[in-house]
Amino acid sequence: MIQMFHVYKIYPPNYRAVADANLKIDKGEFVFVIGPSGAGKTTLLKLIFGAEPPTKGQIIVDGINTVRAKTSTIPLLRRRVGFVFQDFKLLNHRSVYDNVALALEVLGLKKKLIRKRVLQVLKQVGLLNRINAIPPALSGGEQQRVAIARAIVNDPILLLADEPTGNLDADITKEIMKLFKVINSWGTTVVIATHNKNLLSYHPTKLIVLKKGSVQGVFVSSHKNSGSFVPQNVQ
Amino acid sequence: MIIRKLVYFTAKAIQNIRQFLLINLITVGIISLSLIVLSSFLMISLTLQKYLDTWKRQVPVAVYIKDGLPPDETTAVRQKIMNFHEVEEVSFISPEEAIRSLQEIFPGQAHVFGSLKENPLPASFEIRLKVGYQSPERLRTLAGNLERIPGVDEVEYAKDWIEGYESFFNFVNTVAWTIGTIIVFATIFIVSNTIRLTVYARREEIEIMKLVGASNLFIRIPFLFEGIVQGLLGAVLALIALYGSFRLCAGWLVHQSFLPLQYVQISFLPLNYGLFILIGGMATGLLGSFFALGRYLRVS
Repeated sequence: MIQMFHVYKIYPPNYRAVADANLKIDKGEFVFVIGPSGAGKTTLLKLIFGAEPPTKGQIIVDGINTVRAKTSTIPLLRRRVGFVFQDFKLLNHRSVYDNVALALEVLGLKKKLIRKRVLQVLKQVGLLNRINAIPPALSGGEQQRVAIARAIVNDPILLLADEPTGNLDADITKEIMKLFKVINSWGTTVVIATHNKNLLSYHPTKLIVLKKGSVQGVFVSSHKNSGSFVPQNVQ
Repeated sequence: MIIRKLVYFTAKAIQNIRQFLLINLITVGIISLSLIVLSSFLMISLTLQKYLDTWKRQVPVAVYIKDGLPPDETTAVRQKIMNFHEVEEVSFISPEEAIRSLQEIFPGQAHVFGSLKENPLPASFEIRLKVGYQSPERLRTLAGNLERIPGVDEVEYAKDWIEGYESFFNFVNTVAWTIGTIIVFATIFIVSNTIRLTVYARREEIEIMKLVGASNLFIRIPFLFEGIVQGLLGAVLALIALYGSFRLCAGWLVHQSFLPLQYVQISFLPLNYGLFILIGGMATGLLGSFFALGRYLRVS
């Protein structure tokens, strides 16, 4: 699903956000990228998403080399990848429905089809009763669920989440993490970047540890839902 | 599919205009004002052209024939003049008719005419030319050809006046087009910057649209539609304002003695110029939007 080969991201003048990252994430995995603030988690996700080009190295997402791909290919890739942000990135003057529908409108689908799919997804995230509300009228947890609904409405093969519970309290964090687990159970590869080690209780299948832009280690779950990990050599 | 997209983009553009109504009205106002100035220059230029055409049409060309030319040769000269395709009408002016008309023009100088022992004026042919043959070059060529007809003594027309008017008109025309072009570019620049304000206000929306996989074209089209609508509204308003001013001022202007407009019918912009203003307005809005969006679409 995702492969990174000697990926570097250096910001001027000489800040190494990511250095020599080599990763392999398979289809259907539930992956955590953990590390302290400034470790390069967000940059790593942005590189996968094609929002930032790497300074060096190659990245392959679902068979597309994002470094060599044409600019016009990136939007096509993004239609198959959902992204959930810590700050939700919702349109505050548009309704919950409009926010979620946006991801399908860019595909040029029929209104009827969009409505059917949006209602289905809002039901899955438990927001059917808030369909006409605007984001500022929602709680943090509800806003994050809208963002998740938008990310999964076009049935992505990959879901990236950057500190999705960073602004949420423990109860809502639990709710959101359960939702990610459900989405993963449908076959969607889920990659979550977090600095919160407590989230490890949600049993990722793979753990990528980042520190100062370098991959310190990649660990795989030794037994399903066991909570114990063994190092994986990707070289 | 195309119709569905067109409906979507139009709805999106209308939604955007309603959301940022004030700034959209400002843009429409700027386009409208610029087009009013531009159209005024066009009207001035057209009126001048019309005035010059009317005046030139009245300018006669006089072909003086040699003294004592026998009647049959005079008829031959007339026939040769008639053979020029530029000529619409030829009238013979005998020396007697010439002095009579001179006396009519200067009634107070009867004693001067009375003191003449013999009529000094030659017989001539007065020629009126067809429309479109009054340019200085054509007149110069025609005069040269007429002078070569046997029996013709001299050819006269208001050469200096025509050339003077022509160069004055060309100067005014050049100034009008130069100012017009500057206005068009200035308008595109101002409109582009005004639209950039709405783009700036919507930068988050653009970012989110890109995040969910919208192509640059998909993001750009509603803005371009918006620009076209703004341009069209601006042009319509400009034409309405211009027509209103024309109705109010045209009659008054014609009767002002300091303006030589008595013989010219001042008319509103012809239909093709009206269409030009409408299309120009839409193009201005379109280009303004196009340039406004460029920088924001480069951000991933």
